[in-house]
Amino acid sequence: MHPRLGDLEANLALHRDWIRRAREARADLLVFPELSLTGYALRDLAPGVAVPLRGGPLEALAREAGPMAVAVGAVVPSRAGPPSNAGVLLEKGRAAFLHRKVYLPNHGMFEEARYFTSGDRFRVHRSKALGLTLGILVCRDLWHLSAGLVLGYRGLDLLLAMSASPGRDLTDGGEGQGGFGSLRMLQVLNEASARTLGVFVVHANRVGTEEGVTFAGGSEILDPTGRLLARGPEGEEALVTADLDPDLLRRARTALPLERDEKRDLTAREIRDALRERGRRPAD
Amino acid sequence: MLSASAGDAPRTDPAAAARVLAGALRDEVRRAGFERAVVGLSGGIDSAATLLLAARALGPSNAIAASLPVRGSSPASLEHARLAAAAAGVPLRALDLAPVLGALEAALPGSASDRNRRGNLAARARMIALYDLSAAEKALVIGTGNKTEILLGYTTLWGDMAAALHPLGDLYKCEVRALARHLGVPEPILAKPPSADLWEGQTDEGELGFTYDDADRVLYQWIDLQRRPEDLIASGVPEALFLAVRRRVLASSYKRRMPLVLKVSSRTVSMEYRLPRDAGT
Repeated sequence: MHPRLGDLEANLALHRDWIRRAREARADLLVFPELSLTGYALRDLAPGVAVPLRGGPLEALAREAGPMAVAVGAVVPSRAGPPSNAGVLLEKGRAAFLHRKVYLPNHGMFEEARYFTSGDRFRVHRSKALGLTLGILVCRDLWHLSAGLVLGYRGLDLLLAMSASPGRDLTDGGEGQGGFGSLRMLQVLNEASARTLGVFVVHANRVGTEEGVTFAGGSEILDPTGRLLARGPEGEEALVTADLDPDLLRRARTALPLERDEKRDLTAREIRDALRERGRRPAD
Repeated sequence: MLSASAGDAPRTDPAAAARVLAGALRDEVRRAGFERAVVGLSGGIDSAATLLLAARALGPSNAIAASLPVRGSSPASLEHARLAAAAAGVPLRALDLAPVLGALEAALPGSASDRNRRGNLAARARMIALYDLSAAEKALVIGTGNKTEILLGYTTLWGDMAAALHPLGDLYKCEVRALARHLGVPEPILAKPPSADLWEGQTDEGELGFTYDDADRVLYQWIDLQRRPEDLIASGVPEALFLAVRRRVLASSYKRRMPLVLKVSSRTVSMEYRLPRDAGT
């Protein structure tokens, strides 16, 4: 989708429209991209488009969604001051789960840490309606492998990856397959997450241009073996759909029992040890 | 001329760039509230590629091409502007700015004999004409600046730099050439040496003192790949070339910024209070 920058009313209308289309397609879950309700390059518009979890437009959308679960990208207030860039899961007429983006990129073209307060946790949500345990990562969160690892330790089945990824590195893919290198990297990360965590991945990435920056699109859905179930076009709006067979989780994790074999205590011990050692290293 | 040895050159995929830039151009023009665009054609490669992109993005009937010759412009420039407009399927409007320049030169003593002042007058007179066309035709002014020229500051402030957006501004000159070829810019335009066409026999490379290919390699490795100057020079880039390029980049920094606001309050526009340009669209 292609939201309007800083225009909540217009974007609510767009969300209602996509919700209607997804319900017509008999979807159980609809995932919007990062900051779908507000647009991305907000700068000092951010505080003005923050929405409360209760009693506001999020609940209105939740009611519109009926029995369908919906993940929306929104700016939500934070008691720390500046608001958070968040993914909000709407279920049964209310905001049932919230993930505040932990990794706010602040380098090169990015300035998120200037305007937002970062999240401080990676949690999962057991959805009775979907029969799956799901977690949300927002864009840059996905690049930190530790984020997926923690969600995996918490019993993740379905990763909702919500992005507004600015297209960069327009390289020659060969055979006329040129495209954004940054999107190729996201596809690699999605596949790696699906395969190594043994989870479904639904990655929603927005399209359109803001401030001269083009968002790449190419939303995709992968199964726990890393197989691509569906992929949307680059640079165009689309409702990308796939059927997720929950039994695939069992089959994928039996064929490749990474979850069973994961040495969590060893990992925790090694991370603690590495952090202690890091603390003893001389300053750079 | 100074020259650089072979090294990594920028290579954005021209087909992908054409697709992405046409989409972004359409999007940004429409969110500014316009359906149409106006491009000033110099007869050169950058403006020809820009017009072809605009025609692709918005449709030829929504692109306006203007040729804005002044006294001293080469007759070939007008001919090449015609070729570019024809390639884009857009009628060319030739607006003779020679009388305007003549009047300005008469009013501004010494300007006629000073190449620099005369060049800036011509660039700014063209800007006035393009912005008037913008108002008359409800068409957004599309700039033709490329990354090499923007970085070197080889532009006139409030002249050719004045535009709503520069679709080629993130492509080095060598990448613009590849894109122009992909878009179907006619061969005579691709083949001729780049020139601002402000006086007879002027070429960009003659004025700069190095070639665009050399500048592109140096800029790409130094700025995009973040190689250290000493490593660049050790790898064969002549020190004098690197220093000449760097001097131009640093000395023209002011051209890439809006005017400074002198701060006295605690919430200054563009310092503490920063809005996206595309707010609400």
